[in-house]
Amino acid sequence: MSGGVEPYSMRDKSAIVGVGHTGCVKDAGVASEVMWMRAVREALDDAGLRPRDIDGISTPYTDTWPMGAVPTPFTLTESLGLPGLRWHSGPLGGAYSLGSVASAALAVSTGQCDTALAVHCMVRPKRKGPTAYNYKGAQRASGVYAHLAPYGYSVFVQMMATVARRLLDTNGLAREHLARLVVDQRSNALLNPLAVMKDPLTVEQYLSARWLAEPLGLYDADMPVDAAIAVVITRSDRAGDCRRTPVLVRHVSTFLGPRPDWVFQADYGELFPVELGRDFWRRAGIEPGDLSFAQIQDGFSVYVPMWLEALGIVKRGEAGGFIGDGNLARGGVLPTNTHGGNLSEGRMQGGGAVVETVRQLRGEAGERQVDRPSVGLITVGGSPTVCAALLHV
Amino acid sequence: MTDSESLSRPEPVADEVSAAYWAGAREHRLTIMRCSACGFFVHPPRGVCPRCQGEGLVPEQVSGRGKVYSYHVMHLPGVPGFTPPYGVAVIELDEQPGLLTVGNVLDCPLEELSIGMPVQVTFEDLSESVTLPQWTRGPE
Repeated sequence: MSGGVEPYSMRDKSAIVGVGHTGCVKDAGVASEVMWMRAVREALDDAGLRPRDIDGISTPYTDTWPMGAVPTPFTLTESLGLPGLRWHSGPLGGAYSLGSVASAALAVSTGQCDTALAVHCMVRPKRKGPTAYNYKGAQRASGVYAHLAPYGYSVFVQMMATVARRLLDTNGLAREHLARLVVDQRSNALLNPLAVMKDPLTVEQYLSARWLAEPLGLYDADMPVDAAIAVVITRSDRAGDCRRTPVLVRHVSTFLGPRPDWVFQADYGELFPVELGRDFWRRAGIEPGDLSFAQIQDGFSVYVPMWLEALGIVKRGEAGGFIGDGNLARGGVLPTNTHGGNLSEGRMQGGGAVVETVRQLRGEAGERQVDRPSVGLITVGGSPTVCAALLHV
Repeated sequence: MTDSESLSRPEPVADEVSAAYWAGAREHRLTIMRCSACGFFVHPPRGVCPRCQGEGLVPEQVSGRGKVYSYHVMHLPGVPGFTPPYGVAVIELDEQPGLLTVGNVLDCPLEELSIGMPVQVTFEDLSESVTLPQWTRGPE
């Protein structure tokens, strides 16, 4: 390293060599462990590896004694019949799916382990009605919630609706731009056999849908599903021994904005400081213009314009027009959420985006395949837990 | 009637940093924590100034004037004691750019809520012991 000025780097030291995805459905009809082990077996088979090749595991939850039906390094070690692990951890930045993959990539890149497994499982709440979203804080609200819940403000969609209102009224965004995004993503989902949504959606349907929290309507929020994904990450110098084309992990980052919530943050137009976004590309040695496609996790539609601006892919105030001009559609300048996104493939907290990125870069995306892609961006989260990664072949 | 409508609305619980805020509201005064070292206003209340890390945050009565920074209209029956649709506003207080608080603009029809609308503090007594700072439309 010359002069000691080059940043330390994880560049291309790890590679994704296997992915598994159960597909998104409203009711899988099996125990969640069955779901996530199906994804794990598929990912191992995809990589051409056996369970005993795994020496590290990361998952979104790491409770030693899991209280719910979620995969953890502990349960997975047992399920795979492993004698133990060199490394285990939770997600970087708390960003669930991608955070677990990023954490595993860092562990492999720094020699904590050689081949890591990252797993994420989502289970759709099966009770009918609005109770699934209900406020859990009962009748007494403490901490920051003391300043929200007494005013009828405690459900996450309200937070994103308030951000959306600000962006719509002061930042060049229009509902027609979001409509274009959501409708294009639905058309992508129709080409994705793993997607839960099977019917086309029109701009008129989007605009006339019932409100959740105005200005966000039914189609601005993602679709809860049963699904699991698994990802195998190994040292890039060993990745060539695996069954498929290795997908290299160029860089990951877990950004933070200035506040842990979207209520009292001074500027709703800033997911995180734009300088951090510029630095992301510098550290990766990749420019926004190098991207073949992007998967911007869309728990809510408004995450997409927020990330486009935060990462400097477009300037502040320009994301709406960029989307409205169709640049994110298949065949556009930056095909985005080519699998349908969380909105139309299903609520995998970005897990589907990771699998889709790998399959696109390998040229395995069927009718949705982007023309000869080389670099893909994945982002997960809308604050405070945000994670981004650049993968390439 | 849904479950959420049959329950009463959540009440705030004061803690060591917010006690003065809620006590002020009980007396129909809007008090915001201000750093005695650097003059920075901080809301919600907390123990240490995020600008200078000083520990000398003290409650200061403020003008009670502000503008709607953003808002939404809730259409889901998610919060106990609230019947949708209802509006929730984020208010930027006149004292300092980016100093935000949350409330309902009690005298404003939902379709007239707008960003930049001037508002004035008022107070809503929830019970013998709990009063909420709330908002009404203010002079232009």
